[in-house]
Amino acid sequence: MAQQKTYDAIIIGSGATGGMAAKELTEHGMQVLVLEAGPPVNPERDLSSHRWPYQSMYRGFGAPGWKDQDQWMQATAGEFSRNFYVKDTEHPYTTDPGKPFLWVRARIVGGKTLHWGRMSYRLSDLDFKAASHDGFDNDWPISYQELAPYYDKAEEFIGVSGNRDGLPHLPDGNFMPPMNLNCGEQLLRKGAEKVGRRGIPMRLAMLTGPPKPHMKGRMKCHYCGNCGDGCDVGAMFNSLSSTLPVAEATGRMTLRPNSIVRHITVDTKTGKASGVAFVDRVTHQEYEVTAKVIVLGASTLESTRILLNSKSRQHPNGLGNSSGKLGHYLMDHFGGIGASGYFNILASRDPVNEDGKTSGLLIPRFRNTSKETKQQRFLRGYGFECGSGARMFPAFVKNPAITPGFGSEFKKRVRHYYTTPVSLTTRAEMLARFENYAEIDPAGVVDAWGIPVLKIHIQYSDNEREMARDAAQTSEEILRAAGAEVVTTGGRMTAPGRIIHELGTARMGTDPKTSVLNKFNQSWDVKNLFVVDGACFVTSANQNPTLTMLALTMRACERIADEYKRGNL
Amino acid sequence: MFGRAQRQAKTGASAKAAKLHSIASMMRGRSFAGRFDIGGRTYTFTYSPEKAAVTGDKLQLTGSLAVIDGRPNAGVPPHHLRNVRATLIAAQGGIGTAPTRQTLPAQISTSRPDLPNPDLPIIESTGALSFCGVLYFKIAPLDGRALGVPADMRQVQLNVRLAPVSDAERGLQGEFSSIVDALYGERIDRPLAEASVSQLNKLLTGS
Repeated sequence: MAQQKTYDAIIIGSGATGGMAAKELTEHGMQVLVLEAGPPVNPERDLSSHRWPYQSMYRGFGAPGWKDQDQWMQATAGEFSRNFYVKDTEHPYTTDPGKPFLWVRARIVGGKTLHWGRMSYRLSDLDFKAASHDGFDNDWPISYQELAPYYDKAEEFIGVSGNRDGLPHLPDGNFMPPMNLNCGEQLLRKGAEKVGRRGIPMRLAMLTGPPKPHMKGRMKCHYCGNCGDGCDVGAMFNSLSSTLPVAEATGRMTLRPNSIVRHITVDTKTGKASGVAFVDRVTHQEYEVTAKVIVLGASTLESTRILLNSKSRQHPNGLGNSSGKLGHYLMDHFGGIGASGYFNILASRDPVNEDGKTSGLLIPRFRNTSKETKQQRFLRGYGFECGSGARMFPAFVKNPAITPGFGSEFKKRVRHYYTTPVSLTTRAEMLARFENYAEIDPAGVVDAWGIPVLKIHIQYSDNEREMARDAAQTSEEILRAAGAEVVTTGGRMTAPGRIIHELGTARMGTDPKTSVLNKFNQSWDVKNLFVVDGACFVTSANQNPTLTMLALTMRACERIADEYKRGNL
Repeated sequence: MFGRAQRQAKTGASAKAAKLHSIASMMRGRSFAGRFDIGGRTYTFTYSPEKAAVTGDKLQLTGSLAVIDGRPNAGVPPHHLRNVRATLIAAQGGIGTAPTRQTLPAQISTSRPDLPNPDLPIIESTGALSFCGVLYFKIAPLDGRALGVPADMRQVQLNVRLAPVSDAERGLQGEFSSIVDALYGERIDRPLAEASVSQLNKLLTGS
């Protein structure tokens, strides 16, 4: 029998952070095994970016009832992208009555990078040192200055379009040209400026200029507008077109799809992680594999689930959980609050190619950024993601407030309003609180492979709800100042999870008693164990988190490679 | 390259019948219907609860289970088991439009101390707008051979997705949601549980 290979590192997950870890570690000369729970992807077969809804019998909506039957929590899955998402029938989780959590999951090579929102913003010391500003909870163990070089590297590698706006709390980066604002977005920006708010082009991980030499096989965005169905030209950053090919080219990566991790194994003599036990998704065959270093990038809650399921005599409460903080401080952003309407001045115009850009206007955080903007009723802040212009049918037509009726009158209204819609929606910080947590379901619920599942406990506090009340007022104020006909205002806050920015549960820190990881994403308890995904976040800030995850992963991998070469892991 | 798990090699578990961990279903009428794959075959099943009770502060259903070999033209008659007990162990909150609760709205309200402050924005599908989307039952040990299934079915979990498409199903979802509220939250509300189980029994028997 051939001797089993021991890898330098096992990386769990092939999404944003798993893919980046694979690239970084293989480039540092390490032999890595990437375990991905989901199936492989053949871009030519599986990505439908250029398939039109009219090519489908169900016009892109899917057969009636499919979502309710198989993928009821996969809110962003569509007929053409449903294979990128898990089946909820196979992947349970539980919640307490009255406190739902919407958990969108991608188990597939590439993970959620196949359909992510691509918004890429840096955090600043307003976020990293938030506790020093307002006294709530803890600061991150790192400063902006420490992470800035890795933001530079991440932006350079993935390609981020944006404008250098000079905002201290939203630092500029190494950008490709921004996508131009369309007419409606220009009007909205002027409206925002009238009431003292800045509006900037969204910063997106999409190629808006010629691909750089390292971006082999990727192409400039041509505004087809179907990023959520997977980008088959590699214009948007994803693992398939960006990180995994680089890792593959080194000859030092083994990628094994369909590998669902049960737990991390531990060497009882050293207390260090020794490998991974996993089950084949298709055959249900059980395997074990060994490595010198384990890197978790399975997504915020899946990584924590694996750690909690990795109980042993030495780690009775889960691996790396001597602090008792593993699973705690779960966060998401919230949305759902905003305003929408239309610009009459833009009615009955012809759509243009730029309407297909999946970009828009960002109104960055403007509350609690300085003494002058300090709020009495809530801590931290929120921004607005805004968009205007034509979108592929049915788009705004789903809103009967704008287009009531049917028949020829309905068609006339659709044509009249096609280029006019405008909307703002909130992206807001959720405070990190110990009482929001995930645990292994105490009742013993398991998934289709018999692996214990999570029970998720999360609720907003009145801080978030006060922020939402403020956002409802300010969004309407901006829309009216822009001269729009306002159709909807306020709204309901999204259920926790819906924004798909779940963060925390294995937080970094400076004290092993109050955190799970040190400032290099390294477990305090198990020195050859690293968690590089969103689980490490200390605060959620209000910026989209993926760019920060990528920068943290690059930084952690540099540390892993150095320490590994020194024999310290 | 990848080592087979040692415990399996040692115990020879691979030679034993495959273990069926969970079976997924949808509420259809008063029954839970679904399918599962094991040993290269697909089976369809229907669990039809006939009676509900609260046992040990948990909802327990008793009903019949029918399993059919799903091969085309298999010619195998359905296997039936009666008096199969299913104990509700956990639930998943739903997202979307809550069913109308036919009974005891006052009790539901008082069982929720976390009702939103009316002055602040409300939260989708949370608190008073919440409902149950999935029920997770532990089924009493089953004999796979008696059901014509070559699998270890001693610890099967029944997942029931509640996505009603009729008033009758909406009524059942409402009662299941009330029972989950009463028994599976931070505090147990036995009067609400008893009233809801009584109503559930009426719905299950069509009376």
